[in-house]
Amino acid sequence: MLERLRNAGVSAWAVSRPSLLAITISLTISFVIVVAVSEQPVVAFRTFLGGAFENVYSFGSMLSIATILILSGLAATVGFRAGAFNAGGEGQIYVGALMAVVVAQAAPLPPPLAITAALMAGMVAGAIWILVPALMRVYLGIAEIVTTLMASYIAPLLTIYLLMNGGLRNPNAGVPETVRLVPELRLPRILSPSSANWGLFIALALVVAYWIVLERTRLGMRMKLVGQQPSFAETMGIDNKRVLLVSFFASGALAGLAGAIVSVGMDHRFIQSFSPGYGFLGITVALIGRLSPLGVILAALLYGALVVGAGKMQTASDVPFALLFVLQGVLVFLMTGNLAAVGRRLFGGR
Amino acid sequence: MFGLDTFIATAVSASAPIVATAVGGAFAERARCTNIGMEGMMLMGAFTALSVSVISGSAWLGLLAGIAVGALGGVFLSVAVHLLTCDIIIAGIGFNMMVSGVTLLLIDVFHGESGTWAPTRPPLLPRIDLGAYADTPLIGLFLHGQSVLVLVILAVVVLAWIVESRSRFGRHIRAVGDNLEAVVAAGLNPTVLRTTTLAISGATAGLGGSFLAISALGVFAADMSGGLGFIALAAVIFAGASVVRSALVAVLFGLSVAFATQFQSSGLPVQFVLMTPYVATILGLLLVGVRRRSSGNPPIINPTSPIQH
Amino acid sequence: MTGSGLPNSADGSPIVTMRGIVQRFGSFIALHGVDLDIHRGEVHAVLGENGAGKSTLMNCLFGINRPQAGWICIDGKEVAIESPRQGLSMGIGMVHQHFKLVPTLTVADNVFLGHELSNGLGLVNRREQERRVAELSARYGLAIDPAAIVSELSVGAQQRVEILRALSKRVKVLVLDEPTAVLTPQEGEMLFSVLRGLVADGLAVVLISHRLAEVLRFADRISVMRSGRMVGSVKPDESSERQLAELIIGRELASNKWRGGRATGEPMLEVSHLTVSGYQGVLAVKNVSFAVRPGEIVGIAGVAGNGQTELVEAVTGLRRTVSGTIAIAGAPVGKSDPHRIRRSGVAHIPEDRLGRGVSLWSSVVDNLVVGQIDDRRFGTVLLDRKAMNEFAERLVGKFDIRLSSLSTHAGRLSGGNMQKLVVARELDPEPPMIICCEPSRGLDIGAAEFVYSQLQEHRDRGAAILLVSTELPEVLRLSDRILVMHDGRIAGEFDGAGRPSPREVGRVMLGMDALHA
Repeated sequence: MLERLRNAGVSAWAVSRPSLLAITISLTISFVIVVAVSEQPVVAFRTFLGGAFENVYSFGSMLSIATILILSGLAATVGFRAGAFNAGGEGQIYVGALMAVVVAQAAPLPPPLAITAALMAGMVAGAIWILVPALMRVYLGIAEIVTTLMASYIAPLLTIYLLMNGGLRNPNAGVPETVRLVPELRLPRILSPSSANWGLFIALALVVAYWIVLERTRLGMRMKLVGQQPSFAETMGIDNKRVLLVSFFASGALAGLAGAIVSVGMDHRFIQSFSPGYGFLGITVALIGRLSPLGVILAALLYGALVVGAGKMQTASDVPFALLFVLQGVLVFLMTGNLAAVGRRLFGGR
Repeated sequence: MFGLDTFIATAVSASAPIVATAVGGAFAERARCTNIGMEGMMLMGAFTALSVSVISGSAWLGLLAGIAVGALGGVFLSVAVHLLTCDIIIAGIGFNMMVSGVTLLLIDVFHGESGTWAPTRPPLLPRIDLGAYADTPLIGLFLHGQSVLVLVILAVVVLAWIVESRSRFGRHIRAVGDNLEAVVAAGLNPTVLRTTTLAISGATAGLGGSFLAISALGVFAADMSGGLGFIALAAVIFAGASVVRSALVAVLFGLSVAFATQFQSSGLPVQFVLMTPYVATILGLLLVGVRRRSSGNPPIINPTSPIQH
Repeated sequence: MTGSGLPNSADGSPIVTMRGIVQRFGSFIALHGVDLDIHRGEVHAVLGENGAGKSTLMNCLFGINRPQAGWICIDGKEVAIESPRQGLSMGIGMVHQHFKLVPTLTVADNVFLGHELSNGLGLVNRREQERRVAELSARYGLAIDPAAIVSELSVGAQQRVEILRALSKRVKVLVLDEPTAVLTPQEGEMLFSVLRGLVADGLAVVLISHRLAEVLRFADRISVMRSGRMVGSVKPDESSERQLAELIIGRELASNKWRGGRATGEPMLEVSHLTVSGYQGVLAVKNVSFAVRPGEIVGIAGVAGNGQTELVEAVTGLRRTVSGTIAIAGAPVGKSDPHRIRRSGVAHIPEDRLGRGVSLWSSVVDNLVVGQIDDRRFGTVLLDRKAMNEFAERLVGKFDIRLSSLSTHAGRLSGGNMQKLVVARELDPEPPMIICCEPSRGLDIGAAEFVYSQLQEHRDRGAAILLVSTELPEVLRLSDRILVMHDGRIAGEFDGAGRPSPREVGRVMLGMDALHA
């Protein structure tokens, strides 16, 4: 039931109101937590909210994180649209990231093509990583939620194995990581020296592409119909299974691309345990953005800012980074629950 | 060299937390409350058990606290589902995210640690010492040197089995899961029943989590539950939500870990050992799907609903 | 007719009195002030067509519905029954058409669900429960194994569990909703002998039914409902099937609006020896054969739940068939494939409008266009929104769909406009084959007339139409040929031109005549 996400004929305010309400409530909750745990709550909370806007560098960091979140948020969105819950974005990001580095280094291609090949390889890896859960859901009816999660526990282990045993590890680095990509094989930076990069434009372009597919193609129309009301879609002769499979693969590929952009655009290498939970944050971003293309961008920017702010808060005050994850969980409840109904139940009224 | 005693010891300690969690999970699943939040409830249980043990100096108090907090987690999830009307799957995922954040936050705030908290000389639950009977075949092999929690968990399995098969409550939760109308017609309250099953599931997940924290090492690590809650859920699905069968399947997943550990000494890379339970879980679910398909029960395509009206 | 008569009605005071019961659902009035008396020691049948208000009335007594007006007395005291639990405590037991049983529990567990016999620890005393069930079943002749798992029982045995459950709560009045609908004739006979035993024991039994023959044989008193009113109360020995049928169906409708079509050429749809399974694998359609030719409307009449839904789902590719063949324009349809069947020119106006007919959360435009979405006029790679809007605008005008804007969700339309939307989408491409189910369900007269005239228009241009409806008047009015479905089979066939009377068709619908001319 995606009904609340459909916004045809409804004002922007009506669409965004529940999101804004949920964000306000959860920020209030996090403020209460900050007050409870901190000696200097105001400083801490101000850094949490505003840290990303203190200077160009942190603003750039915010953009680079938002880039990844747009893609992983889009990955979750594409799945949800057709009724598939890809909870394993995290794993797809890991395999995508490693695959991109390997292909970028190994491909005997001129740099721009090698970068393209690396990004494509990340997408393919992500799609492969969701293959088994997708087939099990569509043809055997096994809930994808557990299988995608399991696959996502396997991915970091597999990538670290390949890193250590595949001759990929940089012997001079302390942390297990690959050697850095040569400068020509990196996505160009914007707002240097921050890690913001051209990946942002790729992500934005894909959001536009997603919007076009959703609103202007037959596939998008079918995706929406299958996700909203499978019985209607079936009656109209739409092949529910095929549409669902396509959404699964698109979702996996987008998460894989998010990983590839971490490698090729942000870190310029694959580092063990590089992700602060980009895959799970993608689910939150998709829900805050109410599965709308513009919503996903805004939610990713918001969460990018909070990630940067949380990092700064951790150094500048006594409140740890983990506040971000608490907030993330709270937001999931508030975004998917019916706040209006709770209000009515608790306080009476209409 | 294939040491049977180490193999069994590994199998028992790998199985115990999954078994505990799966037993409660079977109750929730029976009542059609798929509890994805068991992962977070384990984590909560682990953290609380260790904290209370350290503060009170008693690992037994820690255990009780771990179980109680897990149960509270179940109630919390039930409130999200019944009052806030969240989809239970998505609420469960949100719950896990939240718990993982809260535990990280708390070990940082209280212990100044990021990610792992290893208190010095934490109180631990006693180990089973069979003394002269340590070499008894079977019993000695399975129990000697294990945490007493293994016994507690065995007792929970038996108790859960009795509740499931003999008690009024066991019948009521089966009714909730199988025919809601029958429950209402019988004058029972389905919301209360479901909340209770989620609380039970939370309690046993808290027990499983406590096993991780205060049976052997006395350490808490961020996300130390490592997907065991999801694996327990898979065991429940595999077992068709029957208590005893869920426990047995959970043991199978534990055995897979023991096998992999054995192979480590013969050269299996550690990463592959670590991924064994996850792979085993996917294979297990694959088996469920194939079995269901061949028995003619067609799979249902039912979309997960992230945001509802 | 059995001989027990009306043993306890000498003092004339009924156990239940209902007066002036009014039940509204939104703007729809289901009961217009209904009176009913139920006496101890009698089997009281409430007869009527689907939707006549029988079940609604009984739900008021049982506490499922709360009537807006009127009052209910039990044993001479006025009561307000607010929940089934309360109804039960006042001695009203109900055996629903759809059993409220837990399939995985035993018979005894189901009988005692919610009030188990248990010790202080909450452990159930299985032996005692089973003993009591055995005792009850022996006393009333309800043969059952108390330890059997319910899902493994036959439908008739499951019904006995429901009855035992009510009896275990010492009810005074036992209401049975269409109890024989799911039984074999032998099981039905057994049920009635049980009911006889119950009334002899001083209970009152209310039997909701639409089967004339059984009611005449087994009831002590018969009340007849039609369109939410009580239209008559008779004793079986003073009545006949003919009189009851007239009471149930009402005056014969003027059929002068009937206008015949002319069937031509080869069959557009040909179904032969089709068998389809329904809920839980029970055969719902049994060896059905018929054909629909261009230029004719073939109507399928029947009481709901006699296999019509499954038949239509099979023909439209939404449900797998067990055996038999379906051919469209002479080409056999292999495996179920709704897409292929649509492409071969079959339009489907489904019975389940909200689930299958419209996409509730999509715009009116998307709902209209989706039927022909593969058409190039809506764009090659990208969809041409302008063309889609123009198309939708044309259909909205042509079919007079009233809406605030084209981007409105279909779910916001009224029932009539929603149905027009479905009709517009399905009929605009002028399909050679139209399958139309319950075309007027939930519609006002104007909207229904519109749909009727559309169907006739398309028949006249040469479409083959299969009309499936539980509303006999509309089947009679539109059809060139009428097939009657009963218990998954074609139980009778009538030539529309011969203008069969509702009574004639109704007899077959009600299963009175095994096979008509």
